[in-house]
Amino acid sequence: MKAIISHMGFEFKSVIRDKTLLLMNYLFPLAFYFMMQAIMPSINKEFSKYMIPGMTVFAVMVSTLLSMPNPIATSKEKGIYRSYKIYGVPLKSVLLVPVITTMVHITIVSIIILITSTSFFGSTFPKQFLNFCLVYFISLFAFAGFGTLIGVCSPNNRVTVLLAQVIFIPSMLIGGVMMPTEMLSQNMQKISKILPTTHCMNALGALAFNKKPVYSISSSIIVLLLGGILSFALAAYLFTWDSKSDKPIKNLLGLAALLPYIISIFI
Amino acid sequence: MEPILCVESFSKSYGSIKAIDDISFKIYPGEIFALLGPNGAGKTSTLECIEGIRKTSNGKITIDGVNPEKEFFKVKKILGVQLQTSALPEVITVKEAMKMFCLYSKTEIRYDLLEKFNLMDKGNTQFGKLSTGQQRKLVLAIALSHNPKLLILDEPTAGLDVSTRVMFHNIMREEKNKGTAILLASHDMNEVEDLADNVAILLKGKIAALGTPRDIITSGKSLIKVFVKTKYSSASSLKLTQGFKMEQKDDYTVFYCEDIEELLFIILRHIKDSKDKLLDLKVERASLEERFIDITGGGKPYESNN
Repeated sequence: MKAIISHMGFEFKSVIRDKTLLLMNYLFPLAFYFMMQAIMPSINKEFSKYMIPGMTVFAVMVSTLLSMPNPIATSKEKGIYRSYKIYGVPLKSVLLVPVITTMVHITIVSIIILITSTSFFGSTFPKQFLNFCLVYFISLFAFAGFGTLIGVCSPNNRVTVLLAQVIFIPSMLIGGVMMPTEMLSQNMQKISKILPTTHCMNALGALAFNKKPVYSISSSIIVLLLGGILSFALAAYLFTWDSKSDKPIKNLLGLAALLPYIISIFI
Repeated sequence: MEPILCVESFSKSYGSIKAIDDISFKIYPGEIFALLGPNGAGKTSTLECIEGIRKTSNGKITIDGVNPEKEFFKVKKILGVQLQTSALPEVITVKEAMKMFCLYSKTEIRYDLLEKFNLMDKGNTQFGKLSTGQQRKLVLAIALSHNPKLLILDEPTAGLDVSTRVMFHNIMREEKNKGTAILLASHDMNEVEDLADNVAILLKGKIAALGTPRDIITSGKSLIKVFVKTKYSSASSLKLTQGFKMEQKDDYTVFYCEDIEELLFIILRHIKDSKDKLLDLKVERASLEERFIDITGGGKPYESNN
């Protein structure tokens, strides 16, 4: 346990020490949030209502999809995980410690968003705060699973960026972060269910802000939980201690993490 | 005495490519065993299988009776490894690295090793900001932190300055005297000749030579060089019939031989008979490096003699 605590201490500090991680975990999501606060209310008066869920889910996406996978792929490529194995660091620590520390950093950013948006920008505070926390952590779990899986399946940083963008960009466009899903056409609404963001925003809106759900709340929660479990299970199964042991064909199995989301389209 | 490392009929294939083909050797406590070979000979594959990070295709590897592939975390307690590329996270500090890996190894935190390796004043410096020598020292300190019975050093002194290299050599000798077995992979033949008790030369996945450095050096043909300089160059006219090779290098006639006593007798008699005067005579024994080039320079690998 002492080893894991020491490892967590180092991983936590590494986000502060590494400029790229600091940018992705703190500066980028917070700068984007402040920019949105300045621009969006004049364009869309309703934005203040879904500012908190939108911006917290955005922060979660940036940290988990754009930031988390790179250190995993780099550690494999540079032989850092190989050293870890030789020095006795178990797989569960290698996979879970960065996830837990990333979750702490994202939660700090989310708290900043929550406090400043209600105090200074008049955004709607979650009506059911406990529900907000519950859905927030389920969403975090689902995205952290995706981030870890992308890192595990990617042979290098270029591929992690590519894979992360495949989820990140559509999530921004049709996942309900920038505009409500209700504004999309029926067909686009169906397609958007393949994205975890859609389910996060649906569950957050309905359970924390008493909004009318676009889709079944329980199915959104189950899809996120199943997606997270499947992602972590696949990440543990496909994990290799160095990139030499990577099997690209086998890594295609990682796509199976999308199954709960794909199935949700037909529910 | 029981061997600490036992490699028996070990083979490793990557798909259809056979990287290692049926090699066997043993390392005993307090022994420095060097693994030599040109790039691609199979050194890294051998080390990785011994370290337990790759699976063997055939044969058996045991470290103190434990199979590293099946019981990696048990082997970890008796195995210390310094990898060729000192790979730790760039932003981990020296003290953090020592603390974290000692805790994972369930040993006391060995800051004393940081003192010993002159790293204590760099305790809060991030790994990425250390020099290559300091990085290697830190990785070696971590490898030694749990007092391993077998220490694997993969090119530990490559690219290091002389003083750091000497420090590493002293540490290896110190560990050997403590009874630690050391498996050393190196391209530095002088280092191997100086430190190793036994050497295996790998070539195309097979052991091409195995024995003490002296055994390997003396197993070659025409490996003693005799440089002769005379007043009237009579040595160059010497006809040697017993298989001695000779060539002219500047003012010297160089003879290559196995039996120096016989050669010297012939040369000296010839000089006397020719009424010439001996000006200089030098004898040079072949080095491990020359023998290594001799073995690996297109030679056909022999079978393992173990």
